[in-house]
Amino acid sequence: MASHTRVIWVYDMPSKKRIKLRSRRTPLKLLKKLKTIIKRLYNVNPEEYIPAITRLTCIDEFCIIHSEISSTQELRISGLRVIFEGSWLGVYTHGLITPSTLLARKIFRDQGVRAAILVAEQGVKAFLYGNDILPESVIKIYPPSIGIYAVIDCVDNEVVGFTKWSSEKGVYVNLYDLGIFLRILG
Amino acid sequence: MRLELYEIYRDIYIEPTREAYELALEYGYLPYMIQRYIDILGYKEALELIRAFEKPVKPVVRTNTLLVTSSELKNRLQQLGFKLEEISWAQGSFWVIEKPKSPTLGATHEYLKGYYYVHRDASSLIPVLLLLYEYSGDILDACAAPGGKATYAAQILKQRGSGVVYANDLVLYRLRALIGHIMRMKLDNIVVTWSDARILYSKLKRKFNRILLDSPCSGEGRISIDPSRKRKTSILDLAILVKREIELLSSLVDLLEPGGILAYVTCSIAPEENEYVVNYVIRAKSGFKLIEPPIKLLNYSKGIIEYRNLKFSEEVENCIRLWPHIHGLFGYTICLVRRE
Repeated sequence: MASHTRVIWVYDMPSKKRIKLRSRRTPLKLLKKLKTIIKRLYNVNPEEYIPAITRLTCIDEFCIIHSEISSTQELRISGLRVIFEGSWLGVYTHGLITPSTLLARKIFRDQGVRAAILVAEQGVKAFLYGNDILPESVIKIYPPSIGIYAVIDCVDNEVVGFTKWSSEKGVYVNLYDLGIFLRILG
Repeated sequence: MRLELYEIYRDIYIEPTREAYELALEYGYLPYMIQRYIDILGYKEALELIRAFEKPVKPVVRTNTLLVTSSELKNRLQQLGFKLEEISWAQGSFWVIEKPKSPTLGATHEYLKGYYYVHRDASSLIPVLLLLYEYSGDILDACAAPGGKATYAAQILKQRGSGVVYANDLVLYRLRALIGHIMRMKLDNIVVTWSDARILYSKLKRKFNRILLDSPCSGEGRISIDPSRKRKTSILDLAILVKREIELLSSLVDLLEPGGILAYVTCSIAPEENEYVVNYVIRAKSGFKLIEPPIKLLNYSKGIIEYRNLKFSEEVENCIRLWPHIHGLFGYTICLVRRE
């Protein structure tokens, strides 16, 4: 993270743990990476889905890339701390950037499902608690197979997270799932 | 405009009677609270209130209708063993009548997917429905975390096609939970800011047509889920809270556009935190009126215009009160302030 990023430390009262909060414009390098991944995974023009100006909000090591609402620029100038706004576009954690489930949902609705795995109910259940997905839980693989997959719940076709195939472990490794909001953000 | 703490303390001081001491001892309350209940309701009804506080309230599931229909959510939760009953005055919201041992309401797949929000009680739906009645446009939620009302407002405004919720709070670790709810529920029309709401007027270069002030308060209306509140707030603590509530309300009404409405809300039944506060602010500042709710969602009780040696303006009667022993909800007070 660049040195000019403002870091705020706050004590989480219930757990007495310190929380690190950072918010800034998304670095261009990171934004470019997100656009490249979207192009590779979904074969769409990323400019149609990612606005020119986005922000990166990090709570500890979990970073969210999200859009910026135009009116908030004025709020920032007047000294108000804006810590989240707009639409969730991606996740940046442990050096890896992944599209948001919201973005994948939107693209699938417009262009059809790509680079995804349809997972059985039991597999989804384990996944939403932070676990990996076993190959036997996968009902269908939507091409292209380039390593990263959106995870689709077979019950309602909802995107519930992202995985990465690990040939070493023989499982789809959990990159993040929707349960993360409860685990990290409370 | 400045009201000193000792003036508030002097105004709200209560000397409990013997019968208040006896009831307080029996039910574990601070005696001044019981004295207040007796003064407002009379002994018999005060006892009904105290007994109602001993009963559990029903949590509420509010459907995120941007993602799922309420009937689909109801079916899915019923399959998991929940028994739900629709709230007639809040479309898409359900009282949870029965819960299975597992999963809990906050751990179902449907919850993680953002299909619903869990409210501790239905009372918190009311200020949003009143404030957004036939309205679309921006709204400021000045003390927003953890976000039940902010996410509800965002959902309604999104469905109406326009409006951003400016959700502010002073407590950052609570805002973290709000961000979690926003992402979980896939809402994109909320701006989260971190500030003391009392200084927002100096930072915001705009005004709002709708403002929600769910003021940090004694939480006396929530005794049914948090019995520690029976003894938590001394009269001096209450005076400190009242001072802050007056500061919050008087600074936030300045952010209202002409014709705009602010909902002053507390989960407290103490007139000191409600009628006393709004009465003081509308008298001290000119150009503000307390208005009646635009819609009758349920049979509200009226605001109190006379209490012990305090007499409030008659328009304070336009505030609405929810009493646990009458409405079966948290004790709650809502006052709608309109800028002329």
